[in-house]
Amino acid sequence: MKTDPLLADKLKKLFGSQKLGVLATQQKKNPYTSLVAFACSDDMRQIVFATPKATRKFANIISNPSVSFFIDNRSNRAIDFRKAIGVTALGSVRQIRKNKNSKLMKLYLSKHPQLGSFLASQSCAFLCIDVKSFYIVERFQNVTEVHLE
Amino acid sequence: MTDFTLRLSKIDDTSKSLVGGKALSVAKMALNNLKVPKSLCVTTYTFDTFLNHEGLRDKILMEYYRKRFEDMRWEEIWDLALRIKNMFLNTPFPTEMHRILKPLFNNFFKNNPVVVRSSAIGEDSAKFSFAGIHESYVNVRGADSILKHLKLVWASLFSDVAILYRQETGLDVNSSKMAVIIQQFIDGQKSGVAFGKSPNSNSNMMIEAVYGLNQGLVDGTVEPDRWVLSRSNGRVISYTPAIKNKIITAKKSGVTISELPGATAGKSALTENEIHGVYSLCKKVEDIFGTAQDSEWTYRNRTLYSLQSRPITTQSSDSLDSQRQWYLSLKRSLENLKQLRGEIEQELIPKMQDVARSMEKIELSLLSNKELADELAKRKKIFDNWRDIYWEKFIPFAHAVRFFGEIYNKQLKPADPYEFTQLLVSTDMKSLERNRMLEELAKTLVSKKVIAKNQNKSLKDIDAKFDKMLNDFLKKFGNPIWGLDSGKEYKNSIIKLLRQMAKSEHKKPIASPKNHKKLEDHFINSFLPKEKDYALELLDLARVSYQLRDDDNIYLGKIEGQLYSVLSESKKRLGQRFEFDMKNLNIEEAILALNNPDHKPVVKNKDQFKGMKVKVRPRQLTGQPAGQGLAIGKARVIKNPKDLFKFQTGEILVCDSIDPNMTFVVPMASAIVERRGGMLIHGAIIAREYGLPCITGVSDAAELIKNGQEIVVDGYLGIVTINGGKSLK
Repeated sequence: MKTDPLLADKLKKLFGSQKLGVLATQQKKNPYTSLVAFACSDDMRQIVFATPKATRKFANIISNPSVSFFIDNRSNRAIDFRKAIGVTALGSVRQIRKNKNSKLMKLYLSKHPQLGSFLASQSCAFLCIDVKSFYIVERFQNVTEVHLE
Repeated sequence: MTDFTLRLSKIDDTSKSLVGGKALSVAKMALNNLKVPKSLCVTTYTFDTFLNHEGLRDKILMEYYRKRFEDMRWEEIWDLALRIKNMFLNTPFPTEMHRILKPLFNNFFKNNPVVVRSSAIGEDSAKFSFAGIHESYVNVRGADSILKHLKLVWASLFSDVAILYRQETGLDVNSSKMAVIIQQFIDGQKSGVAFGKSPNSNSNMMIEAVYGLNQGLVDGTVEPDRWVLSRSNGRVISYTPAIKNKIITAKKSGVTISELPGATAGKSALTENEIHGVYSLCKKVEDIFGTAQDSEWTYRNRTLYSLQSRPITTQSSDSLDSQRQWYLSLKRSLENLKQLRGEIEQELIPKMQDVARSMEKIELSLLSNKELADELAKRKKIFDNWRDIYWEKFIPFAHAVRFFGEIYNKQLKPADPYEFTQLLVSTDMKSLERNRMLEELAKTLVSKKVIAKNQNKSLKDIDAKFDKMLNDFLKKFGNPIWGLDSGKEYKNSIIKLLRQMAKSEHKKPIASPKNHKKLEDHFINSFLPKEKDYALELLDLARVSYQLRDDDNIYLGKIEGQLYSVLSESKKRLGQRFEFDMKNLNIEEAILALNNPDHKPVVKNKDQFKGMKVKVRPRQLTGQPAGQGLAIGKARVIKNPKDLFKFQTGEILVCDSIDPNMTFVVPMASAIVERRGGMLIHGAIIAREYGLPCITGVSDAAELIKNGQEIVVDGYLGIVTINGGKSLK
């Protein structure tokens, strides 16, 4: 299929350049969104983040691990309407063991070294979204789906 | 507070970012006692204020980045420029600005005619030459008209030529600014340009002069007399008289071209004294600016006026300047276009056809590998050469359509800015007749209820009258264009199509196009009697250009097709030799491998998600809304003419570009999606005629949309959504 040949590069660049994304969870049909610091694996299949266990988002995840996660590069200027990219990742969240030597933890802390003690805290959970698909929106209304198999 | 306008006496080097290079140079000439027209500069502050008013700047950005530039055809860039120009025209002046400017223009210029000229920041620098890229309007009268033309000059910062040139030079259109200089119009009797340093020799200078105004000289409509002078003493080194037969003069508003009276035509445009006057002017401006200048001047009642002056660009011979020349070539005069037409029709197209035909004759399977490699290299060279010619000749000629459109709109101010296309659409008699016969055949099928009767019967059993009609049709249109073998396959395909056509009522044009003859008369009669020949010539030229813009691509496509047929044969052979996928093999690697049995070709893996198992699917594609309405239906992707016969009523026609051979399926379609962009293409015109939702300029439409997929065509917004109908049902 003839799609944008730079799509994969574009996604990687976006995930690399952005530190924060919006996580959408839900419980009993009540949607809820939170801003979280994330890191994405090189193969784009895993997005990791950390959250205190007492939070609403963690409670929601426990009851329903299906989430969506939104990352964009808007600059809050008029040009965003054509230049900004927004990506929604759909997937399911699982809690992962904290191990300083694990690839995912290294990945997360190399991107957010200031969150070392936060992540190390016993009350904080380290979570991974196993991504099933991405929905990429560019130039205002161009949408491409990428389904991971 | 910064001023909306500045008088020349208030302008100095510190105001350059407010007034631009052109206004600054006029102010300096005035300061140094050269005779310049009475002038007023509208500053970039005014431009910025106007752009920030009512969100115009944001609206422009939204439009400007609608599509990737690399995916746009020139026609789409023209549409983009047209839409931005309309935004300028439809945005009112801020109240305060209007309250200040209108009385100021009235008082400053009274009711005298003026010239409204661009003075963009960065324009006329020694580094980049924007000469001719932005617009100037000559002989404008009255404050309201000046205000309107002020908007038009601002808008020319976003003209197609200016957009392309900025792209090329890497200048950011978002930070570009435009000041405007308004000068009292000098109705010159002799005018011209002078180059303080000849392009051919540093010790010479050059003067070019015409009778009347110099607009004709600048755009190439009127050939000038030319003198080469010694820079040191003004001695005439050579004089090249022109064949003078045309003159540009002022009319009530704007300018007109007419025949130069015979007595004047024989005389050189300048006397010895006048040549000396221009020489002295050149020396003075060089003293003022410290570098040789390219100056425009005019004589009125023996007074020499200096109109504008710019440095001769330091890069005049480099590629940048030749690119500017190419972009300027898109703004050709009628005379240029006529010459180009002759060359294209009589020389280039026959040559292109010969080249393609001679390549078709070669039986590739009989060539040795070495011969195949040579053929591949040869065809690559031939194609590259014709692609260059295409850019150099065909694309500039296609602009005759735009030239006509601009004049049509200026003369008649129609409510629909694309009304002029009705005068250009070629009445392709053959396809019209074919469509009429097909409709007739379909009606006969219905009236005789032969569908019901004959669905399970052989063709022989079909009603005799119908059979005769069908045979007549087949005889007349035993049609290689549709890519079907004549005979059984063709007949069966037609029957299938007719059954489909007969199944239900199809769309009729929502409004019959206005009477062509009436429109044509209306256009011609809008000109003065002496200008009517010009109008007729223009119309004729535009019609040829319109037809050619479809055909030229086909001719180039044939040559390209011949190149790819060799590449395809090469891939086949090399694929057998190396047993790996040669899909992405490029020409250079193919030549190497064909010539050397030991060379293993490098085939670049274009898999963007390396090693990952992913499915990439388009969901929403955007293009240009070209026919309003919303339609949901199954996509029928037309990749070759045979696909047309599979068309089912209610399907959405998806194709690379619609040509007259496809028109018979349009009444059965519920919408049209086309890769080719622009408001002038067949798809857009026919969709408007039938009131169908239509989106043009959808990149790779026929690749990304699959046959049978349910798609939503939003002809209001220009969005195609694949599998998006759920929320609309």
